Amino acid sequence: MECTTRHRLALDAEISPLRALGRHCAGLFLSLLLWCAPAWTQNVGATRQVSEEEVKAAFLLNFVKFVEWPDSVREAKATPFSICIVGSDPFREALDGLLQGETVAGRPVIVERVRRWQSSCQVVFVGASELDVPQALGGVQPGVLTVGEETRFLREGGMIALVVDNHRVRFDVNLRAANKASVRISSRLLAVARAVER
Amino acid sequence: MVQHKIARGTKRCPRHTGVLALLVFFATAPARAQNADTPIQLKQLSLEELSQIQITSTRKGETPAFQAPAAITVMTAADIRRSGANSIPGLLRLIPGLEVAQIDSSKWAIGSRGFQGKLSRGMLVLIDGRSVYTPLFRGVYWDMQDTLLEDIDRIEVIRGPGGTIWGSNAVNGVINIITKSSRQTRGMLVSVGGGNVDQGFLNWRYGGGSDEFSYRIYGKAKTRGPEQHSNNDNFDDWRAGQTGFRADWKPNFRDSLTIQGDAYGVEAGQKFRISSYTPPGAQLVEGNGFFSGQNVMLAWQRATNDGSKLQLRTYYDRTDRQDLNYREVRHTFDADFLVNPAPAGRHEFAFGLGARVSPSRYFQTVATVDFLPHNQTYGVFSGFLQDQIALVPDKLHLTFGTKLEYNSFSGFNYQPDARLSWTPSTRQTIWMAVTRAVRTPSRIEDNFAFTSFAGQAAYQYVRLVGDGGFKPEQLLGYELGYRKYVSKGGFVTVSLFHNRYDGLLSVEARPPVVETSPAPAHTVLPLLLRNGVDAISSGGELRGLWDLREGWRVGASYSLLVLDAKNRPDSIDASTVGQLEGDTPRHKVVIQSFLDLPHKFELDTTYRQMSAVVGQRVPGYVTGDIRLGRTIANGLEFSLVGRNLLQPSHFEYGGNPGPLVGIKRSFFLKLTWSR
Repeated sequence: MECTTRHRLALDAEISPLRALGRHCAGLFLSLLLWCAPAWTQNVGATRQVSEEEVKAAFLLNFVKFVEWPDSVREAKATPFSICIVGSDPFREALDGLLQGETVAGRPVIVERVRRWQSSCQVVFVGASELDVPQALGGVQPGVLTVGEETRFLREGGMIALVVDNHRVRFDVNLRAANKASVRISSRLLAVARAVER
Repeated sequence: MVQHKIARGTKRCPRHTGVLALLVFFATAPARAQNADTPIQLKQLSLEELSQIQITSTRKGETPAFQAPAAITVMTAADIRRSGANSIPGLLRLIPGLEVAQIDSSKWAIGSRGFQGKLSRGMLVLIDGRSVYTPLFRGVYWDMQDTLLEDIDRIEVIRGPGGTIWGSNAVNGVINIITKSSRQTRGMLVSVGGGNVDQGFLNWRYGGGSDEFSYRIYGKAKTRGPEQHSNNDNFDDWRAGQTGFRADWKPNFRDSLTIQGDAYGVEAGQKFRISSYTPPGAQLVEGNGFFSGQNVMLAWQRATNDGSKLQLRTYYDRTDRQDLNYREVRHTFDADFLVNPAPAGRHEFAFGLGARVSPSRYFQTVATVDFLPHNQTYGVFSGFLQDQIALVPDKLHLTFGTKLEYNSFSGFNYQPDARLSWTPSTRQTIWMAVTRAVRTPSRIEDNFAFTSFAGQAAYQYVRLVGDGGFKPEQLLGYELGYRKYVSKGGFVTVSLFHNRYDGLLSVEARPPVVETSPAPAHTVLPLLLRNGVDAISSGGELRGLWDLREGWRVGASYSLLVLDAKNRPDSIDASTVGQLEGDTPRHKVVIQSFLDLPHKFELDTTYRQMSAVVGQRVPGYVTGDIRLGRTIANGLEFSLVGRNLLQPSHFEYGGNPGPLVGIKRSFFLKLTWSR
């Protein structure tokens, strides 16, 4: 219980920040904090933790590479190979950086952000924030790889779902949906999948 | 306040996670900064290797939260882990605009833009949407609030008035502590550690399930030793245990259901000056306070593809608090309903309804402290309506709305606001707001009698009397803010405020009266709780965060607060003005560095500076914390944390009888295992 009748006494002025700095060696501390560190920061990329979207982006690129694309895809050399993100983009910049300079079937890979599937899209990615997956996948033609997040994506007609399992990114495959749309997923990919619906 | 952009408790649908202004920043800063070369490394990994990488979950709401027209700071799970703090107040002290001071081992004085105090008056704190503000003493008992810090998804702090959305008593700020969905916490986690002040702690959690249905249970226990006492009166030890659960079910793409609950017990060493009507009049008493509580919450959310959303949340919360001079048992029943219809043209509407009924039972344990009647039920019923208009789509937004509320202490009130945000480019936002908020009476002001031995002569007492004559305190707040991305992963944010408080609590003396009951006969000087003080506060917060280079992030913030109070003409209160002004530290500086070192070491440093709290006889201080962490093996991490390192002990705030308690330099070692 807080007693509100407090007796107060005058106190000397505040300690000036500068005096406090000197007195408490804070300057030393601060400079350690700010300036002694850079020397160690080289070459530490490998030790840091990686974000979910970066790993998912890397998986997405792998999926594209492990699908045996039909000749029709190989022949359209003049146009870029387009990965379309339907709705909001969960990767932000992670995917664009990753795909820079990548090619699939000899075609440069680009990312398009679209509201609905369109004929230029060879791969459709539907983020978890897209609530109505069937609607997002509506009109997608055969031969197009569909990738999404969470296992419900497979139940709602998707082919590959990225899932976070025990702080790691894994993926499940709905082979029936892929076969139905004539998308041939390599056995190498299936071997690494967490679960495959046949 | 833009309702749909700020999480109102728990909203777990990713698209609407609410929020989140700076969240997006904090969340993505590491990813952004490291884009330069990491993807190339990731590209070179095999599928098997990719499957083994442990990730940090950073994905949050996709809304352009950066544009939220309010002074928001969001602390993410990563910030929490690397802060080295192991209590909620310890985390809050890193946030600009909050004044956080430790009184002793278990007690804290926290304020938002002023009004710091042991009970954080005029500030709301919500844990997953459950209010922990007590209508007994109009504040938050920080020594009872806890959760597994590893399960916190983020802490959103909104400084300034938030009454339009959160209702009464959100005058100076709102703190939202939001835990992770159980989908994100599948697996086992155990952390254990101890040191010189945090003598021992054990945290565990187990989670499982699928994406559709997931759950977790957790438990924690801790024991803290006393802080530094110049008279060796080490009364302030603290022991606490807590357990809880959460389950999330997503039966289809539209709906999500959450059920969660907690139970806790706390034993905290206290020292009180307790008055009695018989000689010697007042005694210092030491002993343990016992606090316990249980709560359970059920929340349902439906979000459809056209952008509409519906949320219903109900909870029951029981608290039992037994300090050395009283005991209160309170049951709170709360229901909250929120609707965001699909956007209609340029308008985005939101409306909500809320009801809370909270019966309280008071048990008198000391003759000089009483609430009459002992049992009283507090009720609040509210509605709110808001419209966000895109004046220029994607560029200029006007949000206005109001809360209409009825409460059983002071009747009807309204709390409107208007907010304008201008986003000239995606990299910067300018916003301004005018808000009205009120702090409604609590049992203290309504039916309280706290009698205290005056100390000068036998049988002379002063008595604080809450007799219902206190009216709600009112605030008219003006705010201006600016945010800008300065480079990849870096930002600067500035918030300025000017608050005008009308009718703040004062104590007005009345002529002394002689009482014969209870015997012996004694003289009482009544001090009535009234609205005799007005105040103006001005100030602001400046904050920046940068990735100085790969693996090295630095943040800095400065907060300024100037408070000027004065008595109303009819007020004869001689202490409140000095108290309000004297208890307000003017300057606060926090500088933090998060450094990734080779061999999986992390070195995180915090530099803190707080100016004097003259009213508490606390001089300004400067101190620092260091955390050294290392991942030893997959899933196993150790960290060594040193806090308050720059002096053996320092004072932060008063609040106990006797000399100020020094806050010690402390260390602890922690091992965390997760799988």
